[in-house]
Amino acid sequence: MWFTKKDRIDDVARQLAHSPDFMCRRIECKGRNVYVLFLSNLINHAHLHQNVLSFIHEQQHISIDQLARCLPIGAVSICETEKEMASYIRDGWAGIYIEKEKRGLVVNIAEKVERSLEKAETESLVLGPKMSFTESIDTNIRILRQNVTDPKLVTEKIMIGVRNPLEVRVVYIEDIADETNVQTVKQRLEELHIDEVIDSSVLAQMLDDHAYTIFPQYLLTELPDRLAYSLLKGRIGIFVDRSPTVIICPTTFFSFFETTEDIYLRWAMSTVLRAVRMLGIFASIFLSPLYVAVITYHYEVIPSALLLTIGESRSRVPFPPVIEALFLEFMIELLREAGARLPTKVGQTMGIVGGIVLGQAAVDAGFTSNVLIIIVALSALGSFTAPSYEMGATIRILRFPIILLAAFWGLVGIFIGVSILLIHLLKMTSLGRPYLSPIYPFRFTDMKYALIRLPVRFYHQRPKTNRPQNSRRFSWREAMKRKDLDE
Amino acid sequence: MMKTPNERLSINAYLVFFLVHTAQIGLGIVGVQRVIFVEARQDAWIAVLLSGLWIHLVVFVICQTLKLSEHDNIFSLHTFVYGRVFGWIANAAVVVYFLMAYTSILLGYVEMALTWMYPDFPLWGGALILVILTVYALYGGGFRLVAGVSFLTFFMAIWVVVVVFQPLKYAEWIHLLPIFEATPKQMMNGVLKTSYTMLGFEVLYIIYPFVKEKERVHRYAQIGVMLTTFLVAAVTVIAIAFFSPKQLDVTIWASLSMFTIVKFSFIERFEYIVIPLWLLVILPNLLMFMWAMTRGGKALFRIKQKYGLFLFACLSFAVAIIFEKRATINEFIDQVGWYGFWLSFVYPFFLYVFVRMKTWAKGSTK
Repeated sequence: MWFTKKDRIDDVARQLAHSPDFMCRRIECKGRNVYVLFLSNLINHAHLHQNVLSFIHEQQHISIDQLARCLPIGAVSICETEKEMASYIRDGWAGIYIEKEKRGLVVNIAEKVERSLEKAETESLVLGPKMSFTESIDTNIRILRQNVTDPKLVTEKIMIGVRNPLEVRVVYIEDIADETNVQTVKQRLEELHIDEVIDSSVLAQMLDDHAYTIFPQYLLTELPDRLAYSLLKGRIGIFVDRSPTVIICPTTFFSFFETTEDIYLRWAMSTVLRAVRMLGIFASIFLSPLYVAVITYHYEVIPSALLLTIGESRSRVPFPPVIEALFLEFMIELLREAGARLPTKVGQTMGIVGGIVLGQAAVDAGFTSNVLIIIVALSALGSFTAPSYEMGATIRILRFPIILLAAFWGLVGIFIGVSILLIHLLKMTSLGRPYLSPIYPFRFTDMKYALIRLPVRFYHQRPKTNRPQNSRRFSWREAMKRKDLDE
Repeated sequence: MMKTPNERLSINAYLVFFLVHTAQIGLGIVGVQRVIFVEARQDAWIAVLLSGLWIHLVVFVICQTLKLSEHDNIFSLHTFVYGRVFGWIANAAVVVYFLMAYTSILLGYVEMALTWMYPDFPLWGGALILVILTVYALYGGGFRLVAGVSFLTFFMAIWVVVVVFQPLKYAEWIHLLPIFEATPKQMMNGVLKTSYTMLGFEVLYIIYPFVKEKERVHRYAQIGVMLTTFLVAAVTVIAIAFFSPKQLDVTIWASLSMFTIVKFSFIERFEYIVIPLWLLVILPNLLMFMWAMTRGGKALFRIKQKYGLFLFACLSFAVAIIFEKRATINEFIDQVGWYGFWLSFVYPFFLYVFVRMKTWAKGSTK
């Protein structure tokens, strides 16, 4: 019991000695000294005056228990040690200590700074809800609860970080999410012994199954509707305080190419759009390597009419195709990176002018061929179609080793690259679940969740890939019932 | 980690179809036509069908053998039937077969790629790349990866079949006549020469314990073999109709030569696409045989599969660089075909009888 002596207040004060904004307000009430301690930068002052200071003044009889019962504040807690109290005060609570009492009281009057709710930036949509998560975990949980009103929604709290503790919430729907998955997530989170975690993207890397791969293993989203959709399909979300992105796991390779818009659009459109996206990404990885391979080793493959055009445009280029391709790819990467770092207005001008001027000048100066500019521009466009920023970045990088393989061994080199990719993706897991599902292990009924879209009446089951405890969504038979004519 | 290794490693029965089929289809189908044609002339396709029928029977016998006792793979069957010492020798023979099969595919593919596309590239370089690819795949991947690769590469390569029918425009069906001209001896030789192309179904002896639904293995294995027989017979018929007999006698890679006339508006010389693509066809072969070797290594020397993997990879690379010339590679592939013929086409019947006798003897002593 620490609070037996009056000067124990000094211990709390000593712990907070490095904060010039630490205040200790003494109020005399019925001949007893009441101390109110707080960090003035962190609290809501109006709240403090109205609900704490004035309230204490008005009391006839004063004791910790009575204050704990009567204070008109939601979050109140009784502290046994001064260390505990100091840590509460650091979080923006106010500590109350009454002379000759054995315990202290803390009340939550913190005022947190946060951004207002805004439109999603990185995952922009045309249809559907536009709201995105913010940096405050309380707001994020509130948004989630508004989206998912299922009574089985669980939001479990785990603290991570020794030096700079961070609140992490594991959210899932109790009777849908697979228990093993939930256990794995919780176990991995609890086994993390680390001093601090900065952001959810960093936490996602710490939870990785494979550290050395270039593929992301967990989906990061800032869209509440996407999280709600994933939870209801049996996945698990991880909220991290101070981070506007939520981790969704387990994730498959194909979920990085889905957007929530696929669900909002009608089935035919979203099937075509998904195909376009897949094709774009495929082209983004393989177009420039194909150019390099074919021009360097197998120009016989190109029909003669096309070969003439290519030959003509390459006639002034003094470099081998691989140098040409690497140079142009590097230039595009440079433009993209510069565009991302600059403020929006300058960035746009720079992108357009830099792209057109540099591209045109490169051809005129005989550095590259026109055909290659088209190819590189196409593959850059293709990589932009990846809805996940992380996967888009992966695809950007992936192109370079394959260009090199193509330069070494031509088409066979590209297929060696394909084999390595295939093997690598087959080996990968996310949260111990196969990454390439539903392609392998093959799940026919999950195809409608990954590669194509069907009319909504076909979505009577949750995807098997997530191993939901309860996979039924509605009655398939009723949905498919045909009415008689004139019925 | 949480599950028993048995359930985590096992696969669904339908994958047996892909495993058996992709283990069978490999390099042989690219040039099988000439080899059979030399023996059985225009009746070559009948030889293919006969050999297919024979394989159906063999697959049936293999599945029956595996069902007989609690020993459900060839290595423990051998020890069970022949005792420790002779069983060890028999197992070693099986491993040597897989080593030869692996190396022959390695050499055959590299040789084909070099001849058609990269005349200046050293043979050992190509072999090394493939060996490293195999080791990368199996290390940490194991059997599930073999199954995954055969499943996916099957779909990535099967579309080529559609293109094979394009040469039919120039087919002279008269080349197929007269039917049944081959003497029984010629036909037998034809069947024998088909063996190298059709080999691969013997992996059933090793993958069997890894399948969840044992009772459905037989069905899917038969379907896999049926598809292989159909494809090989189809390319043989097309090649006989497409080439004149004299031409076919000297065309080593008949399937590839047929692809030379395939033309699209954006691709000429289609065989330049097919040869790189064939890497995906032989990849499951390489993985399957290497994996089988590591299983054998475990049975022979009680070493962990991951160490066996490196051992056998080095060994096959060493064997591969001994052969440099087309002639020696051809001879080697013939040897593998011959060895494989006895081991896979004939031996399963004997093994069945031995196991039957052994279980019977054991049952009567009890």
